[in-house]
Amino acid sequence: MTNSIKIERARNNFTQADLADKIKVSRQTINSIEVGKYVPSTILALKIAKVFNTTVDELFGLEEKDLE
Amino acid sequence: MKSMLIFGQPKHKTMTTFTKALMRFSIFHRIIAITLIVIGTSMLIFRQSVAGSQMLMTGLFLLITASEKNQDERSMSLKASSIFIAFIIAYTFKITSHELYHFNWLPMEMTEINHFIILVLALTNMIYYCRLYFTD
Repeated sequence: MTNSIKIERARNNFTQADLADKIKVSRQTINSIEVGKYVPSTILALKIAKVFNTTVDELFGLEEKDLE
Repeated sequence: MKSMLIFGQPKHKTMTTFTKALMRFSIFHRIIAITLIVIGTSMLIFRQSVAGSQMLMTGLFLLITASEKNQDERSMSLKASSIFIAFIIAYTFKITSHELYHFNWLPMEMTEINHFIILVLALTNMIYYCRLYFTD
């Protein structure tokens, strides 16, 4: 799964810690999601999308291997 | 809006008080857990008593169930997978030690269920806290 959280963070000038504070998770969780080690729950994905004022579809995308 | 009027306090203020209480409980929880682990370990080493192993088990269990400062879904998922990994390692160790003892390659084998549970709980704590704090 791909995600554009890092890009959205840079666009909004947020650090990982800022985003973590806003959605009440740890900074490590944000980093794990960004590097693709951890797939967030639907609620967490919706919360992240809300912070960036975007949709989950725009933040997260499927890769070829996910469809196999 | 109605609930805010009934309580006469902004909702976030109540949440902050609750979070603070939870934090205090979490620290207290951890202190009790560590105290039990220290006392239990020393009782088990120096007196080899059953009470010591029970204290150690309780302490290790309390340490696993203690909530984090920033408890989120990743920490919960790490906790669950750490228990699974610890159980596999501990059971492999138990089976291996039994087989080695059977062939006289090891002077002892793990027969006590309490010792097996202590091993599982101790491994769970080690794996969980290492993964939580040392991996990003």
